[in-house]
Amino acid sequence: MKKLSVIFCVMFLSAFFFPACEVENCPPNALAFAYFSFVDQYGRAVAYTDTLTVVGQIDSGDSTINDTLINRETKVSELSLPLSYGTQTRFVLSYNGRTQDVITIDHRNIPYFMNLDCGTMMFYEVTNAETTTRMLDSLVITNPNIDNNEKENFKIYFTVTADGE
Amino acid sequence: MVSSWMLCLATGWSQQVHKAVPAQKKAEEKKEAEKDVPLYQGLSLEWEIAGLGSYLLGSDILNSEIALRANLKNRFLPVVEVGYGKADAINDGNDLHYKTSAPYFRIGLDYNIFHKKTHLPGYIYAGLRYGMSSFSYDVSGPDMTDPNYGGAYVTPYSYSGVKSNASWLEGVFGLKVKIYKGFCMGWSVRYKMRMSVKEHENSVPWYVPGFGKNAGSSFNLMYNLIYNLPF
Repeated sequence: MKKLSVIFCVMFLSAFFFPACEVENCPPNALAFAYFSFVDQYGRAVAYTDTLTVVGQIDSGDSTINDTLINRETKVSELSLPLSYGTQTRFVLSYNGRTQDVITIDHRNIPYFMNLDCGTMMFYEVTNAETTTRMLDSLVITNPNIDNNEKENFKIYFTVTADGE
Repeated sequence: MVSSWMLCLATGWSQQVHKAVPAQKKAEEKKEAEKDVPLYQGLSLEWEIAGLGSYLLGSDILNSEIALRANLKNRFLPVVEVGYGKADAINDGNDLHYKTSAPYFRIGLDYNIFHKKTHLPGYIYAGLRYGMSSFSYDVSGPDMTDPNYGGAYVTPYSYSGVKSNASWLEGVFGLKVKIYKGFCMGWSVRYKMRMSVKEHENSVPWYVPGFGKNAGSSFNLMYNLIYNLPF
């Protein structure tokens, strides 16, 4: 009987401790970015050594909204860029202020609720992607689902010559 | 009848200690005594009130259930639990609102660890449950404004009647103590492991009736009022 009382007390006290074990499921990253990797014609990772500027561009009504996302960075080998809440987002890549490529991405937006404590976030499904090919060779969608998992979504192919140009 | 048998059994055991009966004979007697326990030892009806108490004290979540438990050989305790879970919660920090209400079901088996200590007014048990619930929920929040591109686009967030279902396993450890005549009470601790939950493209359920807040696992403490049915 004495043992039973002890166990009873332990269980009663546990009522105060166990609720503290609840684990919050908020992800460390609540934003979804499109991830681009730079690769050469053989699929090997490469970096653009000169300065690179990326401007995000959307159409809103009759006007075009520009948002500078990356400003004159060097040695860029990958990009993480936010898509808009519209259905199309363009990224203008300016290479050393001289040449430009425009990547146009059509996407379906997926508002997402994970947890009452964590708020909502926007995920995307890429439905189409096109690019100009002034400096880059091509664009390939490797994963059309853009969420907060930080996975590669696109490969940008460049032709790299022996002297690194 | 049962209590007199328990008394006899307890007395028999105490005599065995003094007389130092050979081990083989002792084992045979023990086996014989266990064989004599009738299979059906009764039914009990249990009402879990901790969830209701928590709701009355201001929680956004209501969880209450009843259970029907059979006692087989005073050792095996199969149980069926039927409950109702309800959540209507708003996070004041971000104005998100989640609402659901649905029944849930569990089936399982407990083992009376103290089945030999029949002189005690209660027993400790351990067991397993399989739980399931099919439910729908509403989730809504403030409009989502694009954090980039000058906030040009705003998307509403509101989904109603989202259908989902979930299943889970529970490990149970608890005790039952006799209070008065056929009335008993008990505590139990439950460790719940989520097996599956159906997600929607735009949301995951925040609260699953019978399981609690949606996570890989959770702990729960339950308080039961129990009535041993007189048949």
